[in-house]
Amino acid sequence: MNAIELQEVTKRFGRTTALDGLSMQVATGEVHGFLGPNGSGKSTTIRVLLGLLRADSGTARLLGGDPWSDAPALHRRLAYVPGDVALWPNLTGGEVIDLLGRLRGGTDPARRAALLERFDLDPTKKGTTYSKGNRQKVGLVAALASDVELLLLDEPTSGLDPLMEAQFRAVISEERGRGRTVLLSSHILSEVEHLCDRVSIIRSGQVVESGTLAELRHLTRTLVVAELAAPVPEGLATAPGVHDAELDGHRITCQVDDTELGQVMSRLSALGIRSITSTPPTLEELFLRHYDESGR
Amino acid sequence: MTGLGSLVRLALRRSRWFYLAWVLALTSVVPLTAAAYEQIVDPGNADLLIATMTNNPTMRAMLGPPVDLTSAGGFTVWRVGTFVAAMSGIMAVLGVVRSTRAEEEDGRTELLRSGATGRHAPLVAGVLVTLLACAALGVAVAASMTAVGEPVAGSVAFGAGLALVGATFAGVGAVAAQLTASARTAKALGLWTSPRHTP
Ligand SMILES: Nc1ncnc2c1ncn2[C@@H]1O[C@H](COP(=O)(O)OP(=O)(O)O)[C@@H](O)[C@H]1O
Ligand SMILES: [Mg+2]
Repeated sequence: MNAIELQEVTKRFGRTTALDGLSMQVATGEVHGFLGPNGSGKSTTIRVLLGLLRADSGTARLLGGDPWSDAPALHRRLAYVPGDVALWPNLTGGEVIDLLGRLRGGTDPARRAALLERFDLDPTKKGTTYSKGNRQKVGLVAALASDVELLLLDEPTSGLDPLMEAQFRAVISEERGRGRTVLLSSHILSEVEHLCDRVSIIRSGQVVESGTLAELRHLTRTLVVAELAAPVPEGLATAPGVHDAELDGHRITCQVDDTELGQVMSRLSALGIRSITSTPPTLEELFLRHYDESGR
Repeated sequence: MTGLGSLVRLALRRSRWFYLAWVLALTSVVPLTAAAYEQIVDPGNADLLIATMTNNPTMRAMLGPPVDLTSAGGFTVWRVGTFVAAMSGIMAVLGVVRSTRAEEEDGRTELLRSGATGRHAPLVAGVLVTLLACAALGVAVAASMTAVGEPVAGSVAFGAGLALVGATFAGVGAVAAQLTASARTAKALGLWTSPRHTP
């Protein structure tokens, strides 16, 4: 069963269409990256899943229930961390963690203590005294310390320093090991690249691509730099699947569609390869292609 | 109304100083006025003073016709009753908005509602705490009137009246908070409907 199931979900705010027929599935037990630039509709999607917003049309299912009408019952089984955790000025971080835990039906004290330690968070300070990063930590500890099936994390690491981001990645990997489902939204690709089993890419309120990173890379091009035994024939630059070729005597630098990679490689080896490097695209490049080439 | 208990406790925690300040300030006006009456009106000049106050058209226009100026309690209710009632309405409007719309605007309600809480639980909790504060104001006023020597029945009636005005405006505040997008406009709308009164 899928933990999250969205079909053709639409949500408008006045004249802005935040979600424009968005469909997405998150399987139970997977860490799912939800990638998109600012304003693409990530937070709106998560708010629909939390029953904080009601979709204008389409269907949304969460943990087998309806996120709008079953909200309180479903919320015992999930935890949410927003991108900007707002605290109560006169409550300490620890009090907030306990309050949110109570609203979810309890916090595991041992886990709470371990997480405070790992995130290096002092729970005795008042809300007003925390930095942005520390407020995020309060939200993260509150969410991770409760024993829930699903974590909805909306750009949760904004404001964390690199050390804490690494700690976050380690904790999420462990959560995956414990069988929790995680939806992690981000516009930082490296964060998702290292953590996620599958990713969905959202653009202007629609999921434009979904799959494992390996699957998504199949849609992309590999950078090939080769040094050949013979001068590179002109024809290679216009071969099917070859883009942006630069020929320089015995040397060729080009982008190759992953589907044509085999063909191109055999042509190169027929010419005699002295050295070759091929670089798979980073998610960054994958992303850029989406926004540059699929048009607006 | 899942989670209401936790939310009520939170709202109390958030607003206890706010309500305490309002209740103390409003309550202090009442026995101070009563004490002032005892000082100004001594048996020798009582009749003259009372006649002057009763027939003064400006005072009648502002404070309404006095019912009974021969007692400190009657004088107090006439002189500051409307003012304190209006203020209790303002306390209730500001109080409800501060624990509903303002919390939502700052993004804290979202965190609460991601827990197991009913959709309307934050609003209900905010209104309940305001009603509690109105009741506390009523009790405090009744007690202070009794303490300065006024009859119990009248003191309780005055306190209850103030509490009920406050409760009414807790409702006004709740509606204003639902009708508006920001706490500022909610407060403005709520206060615009409040009894306006110049003491
Ligand atoms: N409450 C709201 N009222 C009006 N417009 C909104 C609201 N929330 C989001 N939007 C708009 O919807 C679009 C998607 O926003 P959002 O879901 O926050 O994107 P993301 O989280 O990916 O940055 C944006 O154009 C944003 O301005
Ligand atoms: Mg967002």
